[in-house]
Amino acid sequence: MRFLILILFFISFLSAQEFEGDDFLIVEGESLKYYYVLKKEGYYISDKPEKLNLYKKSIPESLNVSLSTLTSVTHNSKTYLLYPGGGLLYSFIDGAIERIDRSFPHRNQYGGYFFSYKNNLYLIGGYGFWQTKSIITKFNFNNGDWEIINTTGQLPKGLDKGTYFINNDNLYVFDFLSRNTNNQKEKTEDNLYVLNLKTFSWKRLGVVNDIIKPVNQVKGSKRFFNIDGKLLISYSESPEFFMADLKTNVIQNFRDDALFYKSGRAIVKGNSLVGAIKNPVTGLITVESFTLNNVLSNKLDKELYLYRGSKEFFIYIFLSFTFLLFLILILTIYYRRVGQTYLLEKDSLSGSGKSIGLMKDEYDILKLFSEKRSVSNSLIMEIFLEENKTKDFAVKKKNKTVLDLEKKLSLVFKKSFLEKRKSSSDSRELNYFLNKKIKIIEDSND
Amino acid sequence: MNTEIVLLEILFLTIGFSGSYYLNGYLYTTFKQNKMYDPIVSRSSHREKATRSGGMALFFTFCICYGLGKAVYSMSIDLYALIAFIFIALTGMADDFFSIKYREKFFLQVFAAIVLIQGGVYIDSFHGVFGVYDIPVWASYLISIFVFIVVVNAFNLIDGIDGLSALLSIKFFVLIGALITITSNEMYLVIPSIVGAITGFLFFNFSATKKVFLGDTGALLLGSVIAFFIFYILDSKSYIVTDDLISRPLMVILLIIYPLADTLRASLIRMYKGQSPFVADRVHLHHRLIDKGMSHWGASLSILIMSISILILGFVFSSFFSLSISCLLIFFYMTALYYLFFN
Repeated sequence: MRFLILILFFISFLSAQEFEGDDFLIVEGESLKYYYVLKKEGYYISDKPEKLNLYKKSIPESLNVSLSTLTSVTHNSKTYLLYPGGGLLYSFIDGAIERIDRSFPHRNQYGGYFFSYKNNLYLIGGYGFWQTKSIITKFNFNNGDWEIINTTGQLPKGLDKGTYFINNDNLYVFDFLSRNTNNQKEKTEDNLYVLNLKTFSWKRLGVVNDIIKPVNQVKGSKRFFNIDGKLLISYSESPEFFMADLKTNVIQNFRDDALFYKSGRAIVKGNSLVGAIKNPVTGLITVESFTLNNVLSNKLDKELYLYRGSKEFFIYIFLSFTFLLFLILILTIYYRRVGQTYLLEKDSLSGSGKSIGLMKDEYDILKLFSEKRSVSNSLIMEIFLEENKTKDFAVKKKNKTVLDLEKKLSLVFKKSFLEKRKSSSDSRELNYFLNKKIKIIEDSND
Repeated sequence: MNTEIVLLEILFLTIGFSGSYYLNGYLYTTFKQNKMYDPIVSRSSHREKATRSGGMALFFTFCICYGLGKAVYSMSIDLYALIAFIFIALTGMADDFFSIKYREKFFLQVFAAIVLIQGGVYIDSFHGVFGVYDIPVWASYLISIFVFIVVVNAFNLIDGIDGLSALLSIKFFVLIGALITITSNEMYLVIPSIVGAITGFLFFNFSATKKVFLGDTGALLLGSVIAFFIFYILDSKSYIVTDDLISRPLMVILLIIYPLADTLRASLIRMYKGQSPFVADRVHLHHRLIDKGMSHWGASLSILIMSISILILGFVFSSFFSLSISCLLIFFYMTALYYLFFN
């Protein structure tokens, strides 16, 4: 495939025009069949690339800048050229460049996006007088003035060097910069905004996929084109380019080693990209036309989302509530386990949000159960045996203490703690068993 | 879905959980060695020894996660909001250790609210409630301060039984997390850090052997973070993906419906009895569930499920009906819940 692209690349040289000097501008023109290359001394038409046509009228004196700094737009099959910074507007019709505005070079919107929508020409955003602008101005063909249009909604703070795309009465803009008016520090914006061109209301749509690096962090200049209702973004110093579909919120990156990225000042004409390539040896600049048919063949990654929108929100909500459900499940199991655990301290037994005071003998008995689940009667008896008292006294005291303790525990914790059973190995021996669902832990730090 | 984002969120959830779990255990031991237990009084819902170190653990965990997120990733939150959170956490710590007076605490909260709104994130619109949209700046400030005080204290007041405040905070952050992930590349890692920290705390809150409470530090801190995100939602400059589904003020109310409804109810009852609306007592709805014999976990879980059901119904009603009819239907549903479970 790369070989095929290289062949196409060299074939395209056959129909190329060569120029000396950098000052020229490629414009779409009124017909699909050809495009124009404007120079100060005349213009070329792509179907007769060798012939320099002279302008029918001399170029207006006000057009005192390089042609390459102008921005062109084709509107109602006519070409319009905008002076850098806004204000002065020229038409290029029938081989003549004429000034059509009654404005002045206000220098307020350098780098703004000049576009045509329905029957009007607009200029949005830009930079001027130490401020990034988010204003939109419309050219009034009747009086030749530019009028500021009031917008509402979630207005971006400034629109400089943005990527713009018009689709279905909406102007989408993202990857732009705003600047702090105090120290001119650049701030990149990571959200996608949309301006409804009928109501002129702004809306923020969500954070753009970080596969698109901010405009101030990429090498070379950024170009963007509307190709069959999709947005193509490329950078002059990188063979990687992006194709975004705003309807389906999808973006995909591609690679094009031969054609694309080195062509400067490019425009899209029909199904071709027209751009300028400078020969590093001769210094000659060549304007070439490349077909875009095979350009999408070299995919780099799978399709990704362009911006995080409502679809992603529902996915994140689903994940979040799955986590919440999982947490509830874990905590339920945990609570069941800790609900059976009681903390034994020297003067108290606590658990399930309740606590009970303990006598020394009661503590000693429960301490045995914190070590073993079954305790023999004889072991408990050892707690009550006293040198100067009879064994009968000790037995009675033990029985009363165990009985009272069990009653006390049942009353407070609503559970039976201790159970007396005969030993399975020796029927004459009695053992005390701690309820299987209860665990006593002795507090180790006290 | 962006897998990298999800993995990062899981990472910070894990860091938050691990940090909080370790710090809760560590602080519990330290508090215990110094015999710094929560005093058991007549209105206490617990009878076992517990420390009020949960809030401190949450605060320190949040600091660790934020430091890490800021250093390694692009985690960032407004500087004024951070100052307000730290100020509120310190106020809570002072209250936990020395028990400061309510009036003093109130003025400190007002100060924190003023600091918070300096960041430029505050309630600047009613978003169509009562037909009002944008409001004057002075009204924005006053309403924002009022909402901050209400939210912070509401989350403090419901912190009466194990897990309730923490679980309702998690519910809030879970939805906000999804919203913020869509909107902000800077703040989306803040949410899993907080949720992880609260989850780590919950295991100590329900523990039988190492019981830890949020304390004023935790309740006030969580309340202030929640208030900040409420400001974020109600700030007209914010992009909220649910705008087509539900009115922003309604969503905010539904997100914190239990703290709001319970605080309002308790205050009305106290005023009806001729008492101060701020007096501490056992008139809260969760106390009713405990008095009915429910365990702390059972009561907290029931309230969590009820508030999630109200939130989901709110979204469903808003999709089909106008704001006023949705509010009315939600009110009927809440009344039914009250008579079924709390009466």
